[in-house]
Amino acid sequence: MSKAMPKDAPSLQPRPEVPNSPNRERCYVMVGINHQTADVGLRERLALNTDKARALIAELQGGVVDEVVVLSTCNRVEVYAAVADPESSCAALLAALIRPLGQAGPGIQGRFYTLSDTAVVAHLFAVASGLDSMVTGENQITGQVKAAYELAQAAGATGFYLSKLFHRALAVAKRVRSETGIGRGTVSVGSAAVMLARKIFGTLAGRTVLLVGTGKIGKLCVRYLNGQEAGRVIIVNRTREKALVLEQEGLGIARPWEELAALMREADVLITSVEGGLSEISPARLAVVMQERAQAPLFIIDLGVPRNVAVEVGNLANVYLYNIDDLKSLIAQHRDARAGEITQAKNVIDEEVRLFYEGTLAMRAVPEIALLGQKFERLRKAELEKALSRLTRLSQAECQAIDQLTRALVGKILHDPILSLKGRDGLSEPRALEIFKKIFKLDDEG
Amino acid sequence: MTFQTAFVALEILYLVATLFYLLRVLTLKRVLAAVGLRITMVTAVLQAAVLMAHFITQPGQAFSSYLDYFQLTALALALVFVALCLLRDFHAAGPVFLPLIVAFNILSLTHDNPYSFITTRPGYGWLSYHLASIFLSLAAFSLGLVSAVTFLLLERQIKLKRIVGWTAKLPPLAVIDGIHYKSLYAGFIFFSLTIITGAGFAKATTGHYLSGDFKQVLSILIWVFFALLLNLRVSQGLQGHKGVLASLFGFAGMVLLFFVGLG
Repeated sequence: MSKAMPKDAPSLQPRPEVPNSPNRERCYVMVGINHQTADVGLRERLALNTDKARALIAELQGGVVDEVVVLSTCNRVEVYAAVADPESSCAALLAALIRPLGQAGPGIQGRFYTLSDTAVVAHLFAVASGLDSMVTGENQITGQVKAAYELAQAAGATGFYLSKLFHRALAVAKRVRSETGIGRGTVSVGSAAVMLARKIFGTLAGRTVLLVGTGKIGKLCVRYLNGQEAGRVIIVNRTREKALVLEQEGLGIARPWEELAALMREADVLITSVEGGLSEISPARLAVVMQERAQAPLFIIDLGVPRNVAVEVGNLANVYLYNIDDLKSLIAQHRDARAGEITQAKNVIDEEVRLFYEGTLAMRAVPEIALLGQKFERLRKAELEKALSRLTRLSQAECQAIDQLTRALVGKILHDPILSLKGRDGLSEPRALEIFKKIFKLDDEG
Repeated sequence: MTFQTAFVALEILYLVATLFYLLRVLTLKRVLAAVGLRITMVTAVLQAAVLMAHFITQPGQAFSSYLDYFQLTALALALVFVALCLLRDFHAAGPVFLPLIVAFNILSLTHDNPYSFITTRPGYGWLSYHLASIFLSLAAFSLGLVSAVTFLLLERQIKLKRIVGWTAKLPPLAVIDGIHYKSLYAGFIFFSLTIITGAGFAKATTGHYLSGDFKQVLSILIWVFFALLLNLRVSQGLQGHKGVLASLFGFAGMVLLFFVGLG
């Protein structure tokens, strides 16, 4: 799959000869696959760990690209580069990416997309902001983009072009998160459990989590809660050996099943994930437990299918009962709420792409501006010397006044042309720069 | 510009802030709450300055009218609200707090009756402390009421499994519960002072600490109610739904007492 660049998208092709930049024209290209174009099996085969990414950077850097960054996550493998010749470079990047697949490589070329110039900028901004993620708005990707850039930087594979692009992308991601609600809400059962626990208790520090059963989702929830610095985790299971396995994994402390009733008095968060019902958590028994624990709030997450806890338990004061369907419904509600923020986030990205483009236009005109200034300064000095040689009776102060006058005149004359060169008056066509150079004969100056 | 005009201008500013917070509830746009908070902060500072000037220009007459007390209560509420927003991000209190502030400001403008006829009487000293503690306890109990209502609304949404929109922006239940009880403690202390100073004023004017009228009996009943509630909190660790629900009865009694006293 190949995404074509929009017809009306302006060509970036930032021009060189500015401080810290190479001396040849470069443009941005990107080749990659993601969760929309390739299944997980293909993505796994193409995924690059740090060592492989470093090796690929070294290989590409010595070839057709000057600057390169490799972004490899579970949802995408993308190579960003600043190149002189986009067509041959894209082919080389694609060849390098599919090489690990051997004979199967050519058959899946259609899954890759190729972008250039402004489309690369827009894509990276969207990726870094989480807009192109499988779970829209997730924030892990921003860190992964940063890590990919740092890896390339450490390998000496980044320069003026990609540094500028990636720094801006990270800043845009920050802006998108602060100005929109794209990152808010919950997206998984584990994070939903954490969000609810926080909504009830504020902080999880010092809180006790009781895991009843050793189901997969239950473990996942506990891991999320542990990540939020839950005070302590107690694991109870009918088969104690299974609880002990989790204890060895560092998930919590295993306790005998017989202690369940007593442990319920201490727990703040109770996660059940067992087969069949739990008679220990009947409404009548829990009402007694609630009295014994002085009505301290109890958050119950019932992950069992069929449900472990009777629905009536949720009617007790200070008991908050959620089952797996409730959590999934909550996730769906948050996804819907996020959808409204996506348009806003896209608007921010569009604005940032435009600003980036304008900044690049201004940047590419710097050498011409310098040449123009030099030419006019040379002319001014020559004419000034001629005039002063004829005006022999002038005092020192009068000579200085004339010098200031000529400087001011040159400054005023050059003001509008320089603004045009920076593209601030809509004169943004690359051809305009060539015309400008011809009018002022700047090539002769160079 | 007279002080009356200045107080009306302040009232308008509070109304504008209220409008922003109500719009925030409808649109869920955070920026509206931010604007509303800034207007409240500026208005509170202006209100403090105007009140100071008002007191300075009336030497010996400060705290001699309902206007002063209602204005002080509104200012105290505004400051507490600003603190809640800045320290606890409790913007959701705005749609309840700001109308309360507006209400106290309106009361101040409609009850500008000088108490100077009392200043010559023996109990004036007691009366000024009595009135000050009444309004401070009212401010604290108002905060308690707002947090209690917020707690019940949020708890209901959690039970109904609807944690999106405005619910998602509210502080956690435990935090609201904490604010609720802290405001009850503060209100209870000021209310105790109200009863003591009221008894002192009664002794100075009538010769008896207690006269057994409805206001005094109701005050003592409310005091006993809050004393029991807070005792349960301290000794039994009472928290959550039941405690909050119970406090609403106390607040209802306070509202009744306020209007009886005002009469």
